[in-house]
Amino acid sequence: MSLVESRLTLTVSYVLLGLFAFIALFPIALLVLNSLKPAAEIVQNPLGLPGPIRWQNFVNAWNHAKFSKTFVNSLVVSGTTIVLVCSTSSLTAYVLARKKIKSWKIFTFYLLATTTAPIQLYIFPLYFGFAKLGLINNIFGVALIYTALYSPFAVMLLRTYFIAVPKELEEAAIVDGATSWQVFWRVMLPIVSPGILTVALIIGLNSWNEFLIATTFLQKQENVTAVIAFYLLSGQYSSDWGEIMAAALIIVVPVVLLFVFMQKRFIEGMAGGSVKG
Amino acid sequence: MANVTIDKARKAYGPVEVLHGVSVDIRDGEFVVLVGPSGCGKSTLLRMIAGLENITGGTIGIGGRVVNDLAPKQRDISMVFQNYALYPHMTVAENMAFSLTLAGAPKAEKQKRVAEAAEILGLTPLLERYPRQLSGGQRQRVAMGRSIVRKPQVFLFDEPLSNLDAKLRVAMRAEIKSLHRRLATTTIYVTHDQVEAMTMADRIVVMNGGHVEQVGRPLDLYDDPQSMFVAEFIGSPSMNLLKGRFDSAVGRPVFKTNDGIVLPLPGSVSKPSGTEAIYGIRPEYFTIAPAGSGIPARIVVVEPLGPETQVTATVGGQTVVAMFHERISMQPDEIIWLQLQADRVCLFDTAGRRMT
Repeated sequence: MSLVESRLTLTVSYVLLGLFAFIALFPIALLVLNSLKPAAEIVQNPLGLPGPIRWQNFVNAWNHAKFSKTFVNSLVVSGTTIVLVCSTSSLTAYVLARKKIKSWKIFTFYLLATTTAPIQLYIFPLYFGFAKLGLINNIFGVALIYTALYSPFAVMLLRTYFIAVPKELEEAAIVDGATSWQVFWRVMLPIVSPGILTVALIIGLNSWNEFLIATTFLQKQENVTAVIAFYLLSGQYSSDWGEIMAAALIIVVPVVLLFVFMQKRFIEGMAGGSVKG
Repeated sequence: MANVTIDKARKAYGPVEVLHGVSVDIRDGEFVVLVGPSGCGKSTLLRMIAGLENITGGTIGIGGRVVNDLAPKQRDISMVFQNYALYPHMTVAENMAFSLTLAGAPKAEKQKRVAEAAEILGLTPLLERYPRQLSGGQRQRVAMGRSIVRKPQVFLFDEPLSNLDAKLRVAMRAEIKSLHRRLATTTIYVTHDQVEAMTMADRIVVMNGGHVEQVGRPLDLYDDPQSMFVAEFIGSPSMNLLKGRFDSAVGRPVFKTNDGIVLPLPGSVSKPSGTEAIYGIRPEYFTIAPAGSGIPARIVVVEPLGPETQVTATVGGQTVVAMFHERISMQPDEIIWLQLQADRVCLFDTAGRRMT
């Protein structure tokens, strides 16, 4: 295989990549464009540049979707989910990766199997269970559901990170006098932190964007998450599309920012240098 | 500092026994090298001493205290691993101080001990770096520093040099040796490299298939191997081993190879004629004889190494390697006439045990 690609291959690659980038970015550009137009102009000319820029859309969106409250709800749900998933999954993954548990294959199969079951299958029994427990309209209850939902994925992902850590590091720590907990907390966890970050990012995105469970279990206006508040903006008979676009942009911004800031640490490998490499 | 007593130590993984009752006494301050081919159980034995593997049978004692059921940290040992096993998220100083941190040592004490160890190993300018910013040799030194800081009773080394390039390995060998002289801590060192074993050890423990073959000082093992395994393993190139039987047809006891070549025996040897045996002679005990006298050998390869010349030749159907201090300008397929020092011959029975 030659390392230098031919001109034709390069041209084709760039054309294709450009096409994909366009497909990915076009709707977002449209979103930004139309969030600055009045509703009437969007219907008349969705692709055109805005005439006078209408910032009022953002103000309306913020007020009508009660983002000052629903954003906090979303943050609490996502944050709680991240904390719960990362703490429980990292412990589980470490045990599955390192300790010789005879039934680990069965356990792994069980984890994988749960990820294949659709939410619709168990959302009703879950609802009634939560209703009995008085957990409807409780955002922490929703975080608990998310934790159960996303844990298998997190365990499977983190397990591969733990497996990649050389066993000698643990042994060195044991010889240095570390207890099992200290081995985990002071040696393993910092080394797999890129994996934990990845998990946190993915789980955070998923719970931020999750709709079905949130809309089922959170019914009071003051408890809904940002995504549901956004959904409620489109009325039965009329919708202000400018405002809806602005609201969508507001919801997307934190996610994009998170990704941009975490991307570097996301990729950065911590394991380099621990062993000869 | 302490002595280490290994008494009939056994290790089994389920039905598979990998160590069959190994006994070694290591004196206080001694540098002992465990050497053997891969799979001989040397690393397992070291890990049992460290407490990283359970002991299936027998006892291991450190400083007169049986440690079979003690956790690694209670054994007062430290270990250097083959791949260094430095904590990647800690600086050199933090790596070295980790055991003290875990033990809750005061900050001033930690700094003092780390500074001391760094001074000894020449790591002072690197203390704030991370392992990934260090070269292989530097990482190896940090791993040693981590051991020194603890001031343990016993140092354990598990093939610490096998990841380094040849030149660095020689340098580090000398460094570890001088470190041992300076600290005089009991050291157990595992390697598969017999050169490392020969150059570093006060005593060598040669292991094979979960047994101890022989324990002794390097040159004692070299000159006086108790088994064919040790004879072959220690020394490079290894001892020549020729198959044949005792014979007395020429009036005095001699050794006749399977191809009928007659080799001299030391005067003291008298074995019944016809007894099968293996004749061992080290490459450097050959000399060149005048043409027509001695043992005829057909040259296969001549390798001039500078200070000496290594000649591979066939004696009858069997290959021998000879080392000469003089330079030799002969070609393959020529006949070289060899003489050997009969008093340096080692004889082994067919089971590989030493006869004389």
